Amino acid sequence: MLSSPLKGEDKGEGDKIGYPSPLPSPTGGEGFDISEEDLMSLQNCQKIAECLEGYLLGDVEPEIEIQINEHLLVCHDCRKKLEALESLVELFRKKSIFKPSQSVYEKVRRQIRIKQKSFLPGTSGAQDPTLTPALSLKKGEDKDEGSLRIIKIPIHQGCGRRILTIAASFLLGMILMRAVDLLLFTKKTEKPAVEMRYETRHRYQYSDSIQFYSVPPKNLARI
Amino acid sequence: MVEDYNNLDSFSLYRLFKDNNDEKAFATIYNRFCNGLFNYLVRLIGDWHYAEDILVETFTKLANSNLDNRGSLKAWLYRVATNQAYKLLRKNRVEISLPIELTEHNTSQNEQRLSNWEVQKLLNELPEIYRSVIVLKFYGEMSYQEIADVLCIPIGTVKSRMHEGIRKLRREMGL
Repeated sequence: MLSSPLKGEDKGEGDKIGYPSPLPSPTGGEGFDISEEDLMSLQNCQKIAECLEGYLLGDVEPEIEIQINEHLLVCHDCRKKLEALESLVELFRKKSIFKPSQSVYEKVRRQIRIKQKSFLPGTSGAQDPTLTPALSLKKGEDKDEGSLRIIKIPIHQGCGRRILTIAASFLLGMILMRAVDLLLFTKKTEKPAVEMRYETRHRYQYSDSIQFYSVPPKNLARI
Repeated sequence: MVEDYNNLDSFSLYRLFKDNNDEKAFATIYNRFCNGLFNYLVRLIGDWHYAEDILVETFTKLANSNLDNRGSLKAWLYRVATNQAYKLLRKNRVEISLPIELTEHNTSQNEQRLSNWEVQKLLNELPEIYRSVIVLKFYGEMSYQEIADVLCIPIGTVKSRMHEGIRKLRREMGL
């Protein structure tokens, strides 16, 4: 509930803001004969204005409501504010009823039939033991405040998802292995070119196969 | 038989539909809530095509869910519809499009159309959190407790959002 707007009154410049036009005083005096108490309440136009929404919607405590009523009797500005607020609220309260088109219910029926076909045949969603709770519950739907909000999906849909996950992980593993292999291969080839040339020459001249089973071309003439 | 259905509460109708696959029971639930829900969605989103889509989605979800009798069916429907509307508003920029031909006119047509559009423009300029509370209060004709149930927020928050929303509207209108 709202706190009293008339507590902690400030005696500033605001005391003249809501001064009434020649209205009879609620204290019974004539013209501007207003008691000190009423004068104090007039200083709180600002605070009263803040409470007007609650006042209009009936959300304020009874004693505050009485105080606002008393204030409204003497304050012309606040009455004007209240009238403006009332007109605003009435704008929203105006009954403009939108109705959905006839085709909407047909669409719902069609959707339900499509969904039911995707379920296992011959079973109702409530008692079907082959149904598992969906993992994709939306925010706010699973909160307790009302009824259970579990959307059931058939097991074969879950299986498909599982198979897809396994296939994807297998592929990922293959890619990773290939990447490691390539990395090792490139490390082998990163040796200096000079050394490679030397090794090649060395192997050509002194390799077992050449030494024992073939004759170098330069020695052919000698033979 | 239909008269009997109208006397039943929403949850009994729902159980009839789920257990016996009774389409009439589902149709009764639909007729009971569709107008209020559609009105709420049109005001919340500002576009009646989207509102119809969400209405279809909400009732389809109801048919495919398995609810127990804790809480109210009405609050559940409004909550699902609100979540869907929020999701839509986050993804798309919605232009105002009202079902003019579907409006029931009390006053002259042009006058009503203009004021409806103006009111919707004002609402669309409000942040979603204030808009949903104001629309549920004025168009859904819900109590603060019901709004708190729908939006899953404390009743004090509902009141403060309500007051802040009206204050913002006042400022927008220069009142």
